[in-house]
Amino acid sequence: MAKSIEKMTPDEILVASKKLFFGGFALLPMLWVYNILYIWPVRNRADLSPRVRHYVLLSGILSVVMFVVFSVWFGIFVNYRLNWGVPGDTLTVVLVKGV
Amino acid sequence: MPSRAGADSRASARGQLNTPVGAAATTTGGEDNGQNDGDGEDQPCQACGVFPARFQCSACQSVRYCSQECQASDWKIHYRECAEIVAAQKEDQTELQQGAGRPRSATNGAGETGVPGDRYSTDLEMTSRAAASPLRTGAAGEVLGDEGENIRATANRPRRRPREPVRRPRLTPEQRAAYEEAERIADMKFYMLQIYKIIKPVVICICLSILWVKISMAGSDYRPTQSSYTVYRESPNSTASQNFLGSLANAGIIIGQIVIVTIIIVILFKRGHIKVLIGFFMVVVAMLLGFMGYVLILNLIQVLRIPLDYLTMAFALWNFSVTGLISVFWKGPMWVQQMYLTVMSSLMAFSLTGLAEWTTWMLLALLVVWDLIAVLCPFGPLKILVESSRNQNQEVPALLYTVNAVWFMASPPDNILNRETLRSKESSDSEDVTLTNGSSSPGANFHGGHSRATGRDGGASISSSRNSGLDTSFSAHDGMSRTSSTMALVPNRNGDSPTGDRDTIELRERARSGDSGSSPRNLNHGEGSPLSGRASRSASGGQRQSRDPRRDSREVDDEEEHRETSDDDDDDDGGGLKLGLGDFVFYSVLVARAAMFDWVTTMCCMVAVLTGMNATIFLLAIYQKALPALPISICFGMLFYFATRFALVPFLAVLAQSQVFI
Repeated sequence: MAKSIEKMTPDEILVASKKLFFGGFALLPMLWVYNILYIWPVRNRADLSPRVRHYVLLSGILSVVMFVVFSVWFGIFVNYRLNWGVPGDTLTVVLVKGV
Repeated sequence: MPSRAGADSRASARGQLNTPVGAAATTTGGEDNGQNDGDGEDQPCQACGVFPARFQCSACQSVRYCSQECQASDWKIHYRECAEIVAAQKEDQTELQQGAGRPRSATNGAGETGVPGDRYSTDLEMTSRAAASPLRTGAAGEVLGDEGENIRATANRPRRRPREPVRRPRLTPEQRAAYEEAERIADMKFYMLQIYKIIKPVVICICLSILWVKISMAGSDYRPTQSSYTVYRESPNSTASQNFLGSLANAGIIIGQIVIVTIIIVILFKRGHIKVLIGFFMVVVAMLLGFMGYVLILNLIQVLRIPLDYLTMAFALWNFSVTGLISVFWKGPMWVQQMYLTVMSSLMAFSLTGLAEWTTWMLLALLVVWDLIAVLCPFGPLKILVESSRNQNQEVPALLYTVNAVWFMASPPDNILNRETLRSKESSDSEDVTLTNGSSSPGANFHGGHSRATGRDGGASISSSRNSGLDTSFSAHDGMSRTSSTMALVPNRNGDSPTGDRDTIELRERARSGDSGSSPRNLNHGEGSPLSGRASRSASGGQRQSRDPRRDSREVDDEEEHRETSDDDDDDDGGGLKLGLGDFVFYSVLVARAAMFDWVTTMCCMVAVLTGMNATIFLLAIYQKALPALPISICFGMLFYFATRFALVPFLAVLAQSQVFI
């Protein structure tokens, strides 16, 4: 990181935001969150391309969606893994003792 | 208000434009007019060195310019000095003639020199910030931070060589002495601030390591184990000498690996295989985050009894590692990067807690020796690395500094590296000569110095050459910063650094600028790019100037000023001190090893290590050269560990049993 986002030109910001946004589709919702964190300090800059806001907004929506999806999955797993029997145990990384 | 208001036309409301020499007396009622008239012919323009310099700063009347542009470009540099001169003048005047006409800014009252400077810098700060980000007007609050600004401003001064007396005829020897004394004090203050800033990530890293160790000790099957290349395994019933020799062998193997990797890296770097190095470090970081993250998660979920499925874990690890890679090697918010580096260090330390006890202590002891050799010996690899990074002005050291430390195990508080570097620079200009291919106009130098801020702004500055050098050095120093663009610009930089002096300065600047790496927070205000851009433009416009014998002394002064200004800028980035990740790692290893014994030892070791770090930084302030950060801390830590373990803890046990204090 050579320079802070405040000193980047609008084009650079756009490129970075775009890359982070599309990178997020590689099962990387963290990159979407990262995108938001990164762009946040300059979100109100006048010369900011509207597409950046677009990307950031989409990133936020998609990351929330992913978060919900994984939370739901995790909830299902925690509650039903014992009912699933062997497949449930296979999925578990470390078998919890005593449960 | 001194009149270099031209510095930015936005600020012109608060100052008047420079006045022709003759007119100065009338506008500002300066008593010094006659004197200035006298040397009007032989004093070159302060900014570009051109003759004739027909204008002078109407506030202090001690510097001259050929045009308003030059004044504007120099204002960033001159404003503080201007304030000092004005204040000095004012003191003189009050002594000589009470109530005589004096420069307006002096009439503002405020007795001490600091105050006007303070105000000016604040003003400038405000305008530039506003210029950089018109919408960030929330900065109003920041303006109030002028006290900090002032501290920084004074803190910067010590870097400068003693002022040229020529420039300040009005400073009496006592004043100068007091001034230098203040500089020393300010220097110490600067280092204290640095300590505060650097201690936070170190403490966080150590605490994380303790946490990992404590968690993994609570009945986990997945503790990191001794790696397979260790030849000796301690067993409870082996004798002390067996343990000693065996652990020496183990630690020797590890140190050997470190040394070899270090040397390979240095060679690669000197040969310019930057991409290989970056690739290597990316692999290292990815492995560290991915694999050690995996081990840590195994520990966590077992001890905390979290039912976790492979899908979620793989997903989380993938996200964690890739985001870490991006933040460390690409771009992103500084704090995320710092967070990742801290976590990485603690993970590395955690993985090293798998070593057996004797081996750990032996390893730490050998590391102290290695650190001393690598940093202080004339041909120490780290020293060579630092020097070559300076000579080539490559950014990889940044990378090396981030990751380096993990592998080099011992990078000194790095600010100092640069300092040391520049020190050697000072001593031998020849190096620079080798770097220089042509273009030896002093103006180029100027240009470099002036446009520094622009360099940091990065972007579209007209004067990309020297700038880029600065930018690079900044990023190189930055610990976490690297751009691809800087590398491309490196050759330019070599092209225009005729005098060693100039480089020295810049190195100092960069020494100052460093450290955001380890500093927990990084305040990057948008320093007015328009302003500095303009400055650099006009400065580069001045390249045509001819060399003048008197200029040399002048240049020295200028340098100082540049440094001052840029220091000012840079301190916003968190100051100049930098600690290698290796230091983080091995501090943490020591404390984590202590944490495997008991809490009393842990706390003693933590305090000892931090004290050692402070002592190192203190030495740094005194010696002003690169110092290895491990030896003092590790020695303290080991001393306290064994003292606590074999004296204090048994003593406490006895106390607890016999209940002496109850």
